[in-house]
Amino acid sequence: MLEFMLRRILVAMPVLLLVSLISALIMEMVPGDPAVLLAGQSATDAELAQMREQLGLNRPFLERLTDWYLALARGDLGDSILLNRPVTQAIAERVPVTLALAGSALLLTVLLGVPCGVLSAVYANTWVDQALLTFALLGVSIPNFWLSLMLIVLFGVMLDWLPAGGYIAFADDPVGWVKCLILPAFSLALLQVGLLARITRSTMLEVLQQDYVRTARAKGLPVFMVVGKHAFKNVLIPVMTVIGISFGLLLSGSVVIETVYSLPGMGRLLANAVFGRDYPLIQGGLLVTAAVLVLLNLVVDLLYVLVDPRVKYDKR
Amino acid sequence: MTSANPENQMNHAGVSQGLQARAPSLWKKLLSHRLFMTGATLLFFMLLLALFADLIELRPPEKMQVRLRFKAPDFPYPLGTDNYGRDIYSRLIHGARLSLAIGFAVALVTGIFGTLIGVSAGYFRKLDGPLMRLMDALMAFPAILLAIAIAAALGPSALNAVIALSVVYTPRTARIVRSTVLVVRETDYVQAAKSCGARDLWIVWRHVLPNSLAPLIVQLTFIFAYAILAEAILSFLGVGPPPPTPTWGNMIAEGKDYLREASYICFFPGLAVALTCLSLNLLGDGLRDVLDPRLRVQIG
Repeated sequence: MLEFMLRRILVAMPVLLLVSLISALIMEMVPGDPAVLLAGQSATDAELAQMREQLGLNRPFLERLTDWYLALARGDLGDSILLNRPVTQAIAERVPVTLALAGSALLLTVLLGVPCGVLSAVYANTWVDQALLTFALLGVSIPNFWLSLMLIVLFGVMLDWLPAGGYIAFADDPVGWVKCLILPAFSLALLQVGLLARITRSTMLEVLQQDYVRTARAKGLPVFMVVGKHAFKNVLIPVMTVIGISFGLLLSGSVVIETVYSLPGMGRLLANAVFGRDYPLIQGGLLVTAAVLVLLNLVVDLLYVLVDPRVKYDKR
Repeated sequence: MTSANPENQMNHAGVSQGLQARAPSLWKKLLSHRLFMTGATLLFFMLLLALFADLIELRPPEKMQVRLRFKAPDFPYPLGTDNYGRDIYSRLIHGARLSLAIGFAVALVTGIFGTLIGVSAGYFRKLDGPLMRLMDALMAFPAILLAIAIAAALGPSALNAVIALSVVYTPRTARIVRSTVLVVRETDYVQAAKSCGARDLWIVWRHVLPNSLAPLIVQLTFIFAYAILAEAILSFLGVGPPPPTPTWGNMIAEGKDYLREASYICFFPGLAVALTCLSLNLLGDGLRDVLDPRLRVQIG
């Protein structure tokens, strides 16, 4: 187990190195002079020189990159240009909002997706199955930023049940916190519900054809016992992978949702950084999100072992 | 295949018995697949709108008429007019053209590069490590964020949206192609060809590629759908083709400030995105049912 963990971390290292390299290269891709873009056309030469100095543009790329890595080794991602403060600080401040959003969306995804998939498999090729599959397909097809706008019109403007946007911290007002997360979480979750339901369905169908399921049915166990106990356990493993992937996708999907609902999360922070060409923030933010996703995959792999004793990584 | 089938026997006259012999039955299966046909019909309808947008438009999509601002959907303007008095229907069908073109371009570019990388990594094992680590690194980024960053860095335009989305989706395609190639290269016919002294490139072209196509085609259909969704997001955030170009994302972005008074400005373009993606997803599902033998056994 320990050996497997170490091996996985070792494999993750070059990936993270490449990730940081790519985020640095994206900055290099910008046509024209970033200093002019940031300081504006009317900036004086002195201002431009200062901006180049701040961005380190007057030094060669490799030297800048080395400095960036050295700083990274100290846990320093540089200073944001727009916010005028350390990137790590800005990110740390926004993480709870994004986690709250992605977490509640994940909860919705699992609560809706797994039952839909199981029902669909148990009633395979009936109208229940067809209806649920159509719903799943719709979830995959509807653009969630558009759905958000429509939900805002319906629940925020016409019915006035829920806030149309903005964020209330849990500590300030727990009820308000839940209310302001309902619409964003649902909009974010819908796509994943569809995906999860479809995977659950196909896995469940496969499991239901196994001999042990037939045996369980043959000895007279009721359907819900067989499905709920014998089959469901075996559906868990593939479904857990998907839930892991889902959480990653939810985190990245939060970029758009946070923008639409004006939630002060990490996604909106990074989107604004991209539009404002805040390079240190973009570079640091991309690295942090990618690192989180890589770690998440690692955690999912480790969870397998806990759920399924048959999976053993030490034996080849 | 079933040689008792007279249709197939005709094909057996030909030399190749691979895809050609299976082709008629594949078509038949697709034609009788209800969901596939629903998707195909929907997509065909969208394609018609996009192709003949110039002929069936009511007014030029970018023509503004201040007098006609915010007309709710009604007789002369079936889908209403927007905040500049432009006809939403005309903008919608021109937007269809751009959305479908971008989606198709992304699927095509992704297909080409995904295949090149996937086959290289899967067949030539020495390339596997470095290529797949690079793909892993690209996939480690949140998809939309990477697309936004690239599109913003390159500047807002349709071409740059295609580039950004292709970079995002190529690794996912490459991974699928690689996994198929890994299976195909161990099959007896490839080993046989190898032992006969066939060159690697010839084996790849003649044996590996044709037998890795099915999952790729299914995947590209879904990429087509993702790309249309993602392009709408890029446009919506202002890093797609710049306004006043009528893209679905632009139309939603412009309408979002008038949600209270005129939600129809947002409603129809979003519906168009949803319907187009739905048609492609149905198409992809149908193709997978027919092309993927594993699932065929399961359902049949």
